[in-house]
Amino acid sequence: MTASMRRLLAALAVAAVALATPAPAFAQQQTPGLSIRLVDAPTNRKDDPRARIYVVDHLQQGDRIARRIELGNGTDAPLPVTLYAASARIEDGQFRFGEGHVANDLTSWTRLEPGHVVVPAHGTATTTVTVVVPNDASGGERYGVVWAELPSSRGSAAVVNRVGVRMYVSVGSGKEPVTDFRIDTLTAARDEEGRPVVRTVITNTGGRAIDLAGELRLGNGPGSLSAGPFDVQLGTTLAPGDEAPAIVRLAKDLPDGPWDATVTVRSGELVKEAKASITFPSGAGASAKPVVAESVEQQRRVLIPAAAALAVTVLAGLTIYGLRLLRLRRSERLRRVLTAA
Amino acid sequence: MDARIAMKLLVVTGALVSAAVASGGVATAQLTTIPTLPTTTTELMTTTSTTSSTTTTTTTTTVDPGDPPAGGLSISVPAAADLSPGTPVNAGAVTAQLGPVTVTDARTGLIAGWTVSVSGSDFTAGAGTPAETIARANVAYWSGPATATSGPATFLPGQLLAGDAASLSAPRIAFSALTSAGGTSATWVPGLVVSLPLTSITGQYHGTITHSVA
Repeated sequence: MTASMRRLLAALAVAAVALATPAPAFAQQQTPGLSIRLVDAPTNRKDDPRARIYVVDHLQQGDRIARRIELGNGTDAPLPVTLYAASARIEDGQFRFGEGHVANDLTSWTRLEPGHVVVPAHGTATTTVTVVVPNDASGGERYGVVWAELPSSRGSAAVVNRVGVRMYVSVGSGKEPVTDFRIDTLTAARDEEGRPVVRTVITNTGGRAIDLAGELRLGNGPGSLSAGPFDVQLGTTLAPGDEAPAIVRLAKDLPDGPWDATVTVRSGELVKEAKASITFPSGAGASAKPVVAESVEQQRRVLIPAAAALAVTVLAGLTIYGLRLLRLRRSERLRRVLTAA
Repeated sequence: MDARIAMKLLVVTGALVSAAVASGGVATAQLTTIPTLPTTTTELMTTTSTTSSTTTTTTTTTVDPGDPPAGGLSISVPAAADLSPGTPVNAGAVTAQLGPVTVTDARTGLIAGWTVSVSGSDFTAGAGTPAETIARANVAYWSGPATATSGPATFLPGQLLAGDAASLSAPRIAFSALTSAGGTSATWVPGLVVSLPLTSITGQYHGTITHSVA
């Protein structure tokens, strides 16, 4: 079977299981101004929370994908909106938007239809993003943003506001590169003002960009104290091979420790946890020796078995209920027969 | 008997599944996708139903409860703003208050927060000759503190104080929210400081500041 045939078959298989859904009502009261939302997520990424808010996909040369994007207007007046794709890149652990309409490979493969729309007051409008990867595209991951841009405000310092959906499109003929990362060490330190901080380094060891969020918990401290969770301040996006420092700032009156520190970092459905025993040094600007973080078993699929167990319990309950109902009916029938006799 | 009830239950599941398919409405071959799911809880439910129904047909693996997903990511409509008028050309700098910017993230599920970047254009007057152009490197932006926030996140203003004002020679991070959840919002009232080059001539200068959130 040739690659193109296989691709065609795959496309047909996907098309066969594809569903269109009616545009759901928009939660207007929650989103003042102009809002944007990805409506379609690929079926093979249903477990990936990132794929529900961003256009995330791995495509082969010649592939074509289409995603709907919904715009919502939370204001009392119609909003004329311009739609376009513009470049983005990952730099210094940040997903950085290109200025204006600056293009790259990905945006040149991307079309928006319609490209201009008037969103009615308290209403919604839909546009479709289509990405067609040329047959001669080179492999690798590319980034962009689908922007919905409001008209410029009046005045001599005019303001243009735009809101977008990020795109992470990986191109390659083979299987999708893995998504993976590593938490290296934990370092307890104090900043210039003497506040305790925990520093760690996250390395993207996979072949795709990751969006990181995380938290730190402290346990087993002096007097069995525990603290947290504290948000980890991360550069939010890491390109493949990149590493980024992450910092957690803590309250000044926190005891020195020792503490059992657990850092949980997540990108989409991939969750990593690392543990280390740390003690904060005394003195502003001081830093303890970095402690190698011990990786905790991946938590990735913990919730799914839990949900399955719940489902089994509910099914068992229903079965018992059904059995009882049947038994009741049968005894009633028996009683009726007996009464008739 | 157990088996029969189990069968019945399966049939019920099947009916739900097909109902969901029917409510899906017009199926187009062009779509390769499913609707986004509103919450983690629902996601788990879907996963369960997927597992139990995978054996029946391929179609069921893509079905989801079809709950209307909640809102998206939004930004407020910008307010009109002016450079303080009548500033003498030798004043050194001219300022502007840009009016409030509000970002609301009503997306649900596990997300990694949001970032707002700001970029600027040159400010020009008249015909935009070199003497009538203030390069954007002379335009500095400061977010100021958040005037209102809601939801579970660490909110980071890009430039807390006037002294932190960042030159718009390149795009800057104006504001960000670090979080693992949706349902956050923040408002700030940014300020602008435009340094007037000595070569500037009198005129009505005009420029554009762009906020981008994704």
